[in-house]
Amino acid sequence: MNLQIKNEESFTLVTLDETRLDASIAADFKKQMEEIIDAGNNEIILDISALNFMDSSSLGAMVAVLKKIGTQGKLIISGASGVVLDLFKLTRMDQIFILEKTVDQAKEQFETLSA
Amino acid sequence: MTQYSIVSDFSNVSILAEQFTEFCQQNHIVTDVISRLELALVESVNNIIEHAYKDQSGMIDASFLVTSKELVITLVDQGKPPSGTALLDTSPLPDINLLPEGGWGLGLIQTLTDHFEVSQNQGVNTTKLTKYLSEDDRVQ
Repeated sequence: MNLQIKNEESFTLVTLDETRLDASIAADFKKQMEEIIDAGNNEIILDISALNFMDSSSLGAMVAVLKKIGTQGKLIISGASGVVLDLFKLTRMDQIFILEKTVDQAKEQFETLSA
Repeated sequence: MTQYSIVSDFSNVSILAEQFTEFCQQNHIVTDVISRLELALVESVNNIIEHAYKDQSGMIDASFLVTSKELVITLVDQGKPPSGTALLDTSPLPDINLLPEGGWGLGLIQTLTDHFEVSQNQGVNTTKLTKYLSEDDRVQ
């Protein structure tokens, strides 16, 4: 599981440097994300643009991360496409998560939400 | 027909998925269809590992077949018999804190395929996923 973390002024950019997120690494993903949040980062842009496959166990891990961030913080997911985006839509989690096409658009959305 | 077998461990699912993708590419199936069927395959195999074999290890035999009309994925295991099916929930989404963190697998499989059936006979479970193929589903 390879997560790159970059602290920006008003948010933390977490880049998932994997092409595949599935049940074999979903628990590790969740654990690492929880550690990032526990370290005081609860304003997060999660860039998943490298992903070309994700299963529902991984989506469950993302829901757990969203719950952990709670109403005090923010999570924006950027770069979901193809079957990864299909997964969000088919489960209606696209109505729960804030999804943006690019990191730049996610940054703009962050600024809008913070204003 | 092409056949593969894996030990029921989540780390092996991507290997099977890769073999399925190669099989589809060799049979000129378009990328979008491959991706959605790969998701259905992975959700099915995850279910077998998580629910049929649960705390034990076993084999999962997979076979892939393409005809002029359909693509069929067949999975065979010797774990616990399946217990029902579930459609994707269409009721109003709950508050974030009450959101489910799973339980989408069977509904996804049903949505991503045209026909899905699980049968049990003498300790052997057979899961069959069928996608009917149109001209648009094949690389021209």
